[in-house]
This record gives sequence, structure tokens and C-alpha cells, in this order.
Amino acid sequence: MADGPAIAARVEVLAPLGGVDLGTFLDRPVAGAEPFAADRMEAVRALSASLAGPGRRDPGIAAAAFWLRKANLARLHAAHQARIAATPELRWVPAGRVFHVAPANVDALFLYSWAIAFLCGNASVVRLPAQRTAPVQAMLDGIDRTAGTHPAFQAENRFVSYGHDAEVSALFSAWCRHRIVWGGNATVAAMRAVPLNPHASERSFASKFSWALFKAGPYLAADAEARRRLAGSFFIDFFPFDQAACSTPQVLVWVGTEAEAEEASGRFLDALQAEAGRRGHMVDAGQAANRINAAFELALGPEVRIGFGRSALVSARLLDPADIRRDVCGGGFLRLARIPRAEDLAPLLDEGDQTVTHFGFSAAELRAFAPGFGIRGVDRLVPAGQALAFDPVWDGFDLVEDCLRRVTVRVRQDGSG
Amino acid sequence: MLKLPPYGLSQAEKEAFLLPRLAALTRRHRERCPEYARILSRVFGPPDRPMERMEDVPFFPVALFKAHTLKSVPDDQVFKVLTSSGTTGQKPSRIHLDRDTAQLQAAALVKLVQHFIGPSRLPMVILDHPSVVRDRTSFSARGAGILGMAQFGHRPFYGLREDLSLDLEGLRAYLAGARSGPILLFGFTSMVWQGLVLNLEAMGETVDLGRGVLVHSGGWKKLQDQAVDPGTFRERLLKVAGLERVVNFYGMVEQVGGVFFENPRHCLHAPLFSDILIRDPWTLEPVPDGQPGLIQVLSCLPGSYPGHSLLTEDLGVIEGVDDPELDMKGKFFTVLGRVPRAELRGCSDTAQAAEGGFDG
Repeated sequence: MADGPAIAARVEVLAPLGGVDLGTFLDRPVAGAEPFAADRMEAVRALSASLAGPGRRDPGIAAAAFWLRKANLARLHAAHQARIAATPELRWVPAGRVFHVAPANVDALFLYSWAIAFLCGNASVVRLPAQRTAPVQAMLDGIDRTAGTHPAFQAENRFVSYGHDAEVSALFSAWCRHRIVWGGNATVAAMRAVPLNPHASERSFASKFSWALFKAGPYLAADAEARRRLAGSFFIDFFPFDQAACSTPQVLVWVGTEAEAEEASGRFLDALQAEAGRRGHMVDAGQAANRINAAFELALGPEVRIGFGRSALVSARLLDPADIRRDVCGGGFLRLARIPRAEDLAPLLDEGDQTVTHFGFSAAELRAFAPGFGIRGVDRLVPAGQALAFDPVWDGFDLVEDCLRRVTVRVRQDGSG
Repeated sequence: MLKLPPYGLSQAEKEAFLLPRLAALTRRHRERCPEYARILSRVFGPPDRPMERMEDVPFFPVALFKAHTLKSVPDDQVFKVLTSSGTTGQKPSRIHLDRDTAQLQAAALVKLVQHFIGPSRLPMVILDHPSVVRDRTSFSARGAGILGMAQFGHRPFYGLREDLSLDLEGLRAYLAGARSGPILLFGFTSMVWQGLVLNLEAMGETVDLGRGVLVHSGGWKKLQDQAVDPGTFRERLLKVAGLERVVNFYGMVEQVGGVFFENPRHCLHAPLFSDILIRDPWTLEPVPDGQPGLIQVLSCLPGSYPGHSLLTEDLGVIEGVDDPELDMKGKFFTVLGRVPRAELRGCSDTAQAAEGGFDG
């Protein structure tokens, strides 16, 4: 194996562009800062402000900038204060050094992962996909601008890119004390093969599949405006990121009778098409061709009814929900199914499932069936419209606490030390 | 059917001729090909749906032939299996012909080619090198196309060497020795361009093919990449070889009888036994003539497999129907190119292993 500096030379630092070279950066002793220190909060807020411009062109950046705004940082800070208050025996310190492997399908995700690590007081190396999209470049430009005026930002972070190079991954994995791997099963498998600092922890985010669970009765009883709102909510859950985010609902499952589901499906698909029309949503021609092939391919398998004729989407209603396969097509390909009761979804779920977006259920109903879903694999039940909203608890794990270490301070009962 | 003139029926007459045949083929394949029956019931609804217009004939994408065996005859009646070259890395289509369908295919092709070159075999120059047809057990689409056309030639001469250079002396000698009258030339569009036009231009030579009829097929993609449009193609052929009669050809292995030769307007013309429709790529509804969309090809010849109505991945546009200034009746169209491949950002994370595919 080549030595550290020679390996580091194979890495392209994308941002920040100033500061010490990568080798020197990696050699610095672990320092760490107080979690949610004022200067770090201010640096993230400044980054959020600098992304407002690019956010007007890219909804993913806009969502990230919104999440990183001052009010939300204050909320994260308050949650940390509550954490401290609830754990009098613990002192919370940063994990120290975090190595992030960013995914290719959701451009802005690396910002959330990085911001949490940074706010918690860590130094970070963020590995970005080799293919840099325009939104990623816009975010890197924002990072570079902000780092120039915020010393901790400049000193504590490197956003990098390199090819398929296990030696480089090994260098960062030996350096870090916590490794966060986004990017699906193949990436997780590739990174698991790379030795990790024996003292480090790891959080891997595998490929996930997500669902929408709508109750047909309340949908059919809803007025036109409520139905239009639901179509709008589903639109923002379903169409972004080429439908390829882990929390994108791939299958819409109606709960109700066959007749209810039939009628609800028809109305809902028409409403979704109308919503896409209102928003001027256009599916790429190549993806439209892909979804045609996917629909006919599916027609050769299980009992299904294919619905063409809507420009925004192609529907495929599976008569037996057990026939649903966990593949992802994109381009507006939506599968539908029906179950008599919400509980009947549980047997269809497994560890590869993540989010269930819901409509028409009471809080009590949701709380009642959530554990049954959770034990199979689902970790998130959110209202329609929030499927893609980032949450620091992801796949059932708390990213903030992952980036912190607990130092136990226990004293004798008499307080004498 | 093969006694009727290939371009003699008006569109209305042709539809009246084709529609009952296409309806009968739909019934036949539904009864004999279970996969096809599944497509019909799951995509097109109940089987008693009337077929009153061409657009009512069910269809499916050609891509299905790559992953599935779709045939309507038992194995022991399969006479010939055609395979497409497909795009690199893709599985080829496999098309099963029985004796009847194979004979119809051959007869239909003869009828159409004779419309352009007359009934007798002509001296023939193939603008390719002979090794593309040497291995007779596994032809490329290029090889199969050459062999299909070679039957119309007498003692064909291969004009290119294996390194795709032009055998100019050989060609001149062949032309000098060929009997008087027309000469048939055949090649794939990109081979004709590179092997004949660019080679002659680079050599600073010309060759007299003024009595030639060039039939060329295959996509324009490679030429478009070099900013060569069909007009430029013809113009430069005229310049280096004096070739005036250039006939483009569009067809696919997947559809027997879906054979479209260029008319004098330089558009592809649907013959008697086939037709085309253009569908919106998003809704799959038929679009008005003149509007671009996905090409659907229809043919009444495929009896041994359900290939009588197929949705291609090519974009095209109807340029005219029953043009009174043409002596060819029916519909004609232009192919605008292949649907651009979608960038698969999320369909599979294996393509992006270690680069990040899903967001977790």
C-alpha cells in the first residue's frame, strides 16, 4: 500500500478551495468543538443564505437551504439542550472525525449529512460522486464562498472526489471515527470491504423501498379541494429525483373494498395527472419509453391492469398485492394495489422498506399499526407530502447522536469525587 | 395479396384490406401465444373490443422480444430464428418464423425490391467486406441484411476490405466486366458513407456509378454525429460516384413485412402489406399526421409470432398520405431517430457501485 501523502494526492479537493493541503488536513490531531457552538451555527446559517440563489433553480437545494435556516438550527440546538438536560450523567462530545460517502441520486443529501456532523463539532471528509451535476456544483460554490469567511468551516471540512479507489477510501476510513455511507446496497457492500478504524462506528444506508397507504373511504368522502390537495402532496412525494429516492412511494396501496379502491384509483390518477399539468411537469422522452417497456414487461408477469393515456404517468394495478416486486422504474410509473385493512400491509413489508406516506388514518390508527410495520422494516410513517422531507432520524437511526460520543461522569453519592 | 401492386392501393383501400387481416392475426396470436394473450387482457382490456380503425389494433414494444420468447407455433414448426444485433451489451431479439411466414417474408421483399430494380438479377456491389457474412451460424443484422439483398444480385462483389478501405481497382474491374444496364448497390448507411464517399474523397478519386441503384439501410446516428444529413449524403454520392438513384430503407428484424423503401420525395413509404401509425410517447394515443411521435409498425405477414403490430423505439413523423404527385399511394414518413436513452440515475444502483446509487 502506498503511503498516506501519495494516496491523498489522488484525491481532488472540490471545496473549500483555500486552506491547508489534504495531507496536512488529515494529519491534524482530533480537536473537535463544543456541539452546536455559535460559530458553527453561524457558518451553516451563512451557507443556507448563500444557497438561496441556486435554490431558486433547484428544488433539492431549496429544501436543503430551508432545512439549514436559522430557525431549524435553533430547533436542533434546543433538542441538544434537552438531550443534555435529560442525561445529567453524560457529557456530550463530538465523535471527532466523520467520513461521509454521498449518494448519486439525491444531489443535496450530502449537505444534511455534513451539516449534522459539523454542527456536532466534527471535522468531515465528504466524498461526492464522480459525476458532478449542476446542482452539486452550485452547492460546492456556496460552500467555498461561505468557507472563505468562516474559519471553522474552512479548517474542518474537505469535500472531495476520487475514482473507484479502495486505497483512498481506506485512508479516510482509517482517519475517521465515524463513517456514514449513503448510496444503496452496492455502495454499502463496497465500503464494508474497506477496513475501518477499529475505534470508529459506522452507519450505512442501504437501498430502500417506500409505499403510500391511503384509505379509500375518506378519500372518496373528501371534497374536491381536499382531493386536489392530496394530489399535490403526492406529486411532491412521487416525482422528484426521477422517483429514485429511497422514500419515494413506489406503490400506492388503497385500504378498502375492491369497489372503493377501483373508484378511488381512477379519481386519484386523474387528479394527479391534472396536478402534473398545472405544474407543467414533463417526463423525459427516454424515460417515457422506459416506462412503456416496464409496463408491458410487467403485463407478462402477474395479474395486472396497465393504464396508459395520461402523459405524466403510467399506472399498473396489481390484483394480488403479494406480486409487488421492489424494483424502481421512474418516469412516472406508478403501481397500485388494494388491501382490505391497513394491517394487511405488514406481511408485505420487509427490512428493505422505509417510508409509508399515509392519508385518511387517525393518529390512533397509525400508532396502532406502526409497530407491526416497524418490526417488518418500515421506520417512518409520514403524511402525504412529506415523503422526501429530510429528518435527522433516518432509517430509524438518529444521525445527530451518531455524530456524538457520550462521556459518562459519575460521582460518589456523597459528592466527594 | 402478392399479386396486387405494392403501392397501388389508396390509404382507405389499404386499411380496408389490412384491418380484417390484422384483426384475424390478433385473434390467432391470442389463441396460440399465451404471453401475447396476457398482454392483450392486461393492457388492452376485454378481448371482444372491436377493431374499427388501424389504431384499435393492439401493440407492444419491440423490446419484449429481447427478454421473452413470443411465438405462435410449436417448436417443431419453427423453420428459422432471426436475431437482431441490438445495441451493444443488450440481448438480441429472437424472432421465430415457420415455413409459411418465412416464404411470405421472402416473397414480399422480392416484390418490393423488384419495384425499384426490375424483375431480373443485376450485377451487384455490396459496400461492406465479405467477412460480415462468413460465419453463417451467427449473423449480425448487418450480415443478415446483406444476405437478404444479395439474392437480387448476380455474382455480387464486396467493395470494401476488412479494414474498411475501398477496393477501388477491384470495383473498377468489376464494373468494367459487368454487363450493361443497371447495377444494384447495397450497404449500411454508415458503411456507404465511410467506405465509398469518404474513402473516394480522401483518395481524390471518383468512380462512375451513374447506372447504379443504391439501396441503403441502417440508422443515421453515426452520420448525424458527423453532421451529415440525408441531403448531404446524396449530394456527395452524386459527386464522387455519379449516383443519382439512392433509395433508403427502413425495417427491423422484429417485423416480417415491415419493409419501407424511400419514395421520390425521400420519405419512407408503406407498401401494401404494412402500415405505420405515430403515437404520443407519453399517452400512447395516436397523434395527427405531421406531428412527431413513436413509430408503430403494422404488417399482415407475421403468422408464426405476434409481430403484426409493434411499437418501435424510433421517433418519426407522417409526411403525407396518397400524394397525387406520386405514383405510389398510401402513407409515407420520416424517421427522426431513436428515442434518446434515459439516464438511469436510480433504476439500479449496481451501475453506480461505489459511486452512490440510492439515498438510503
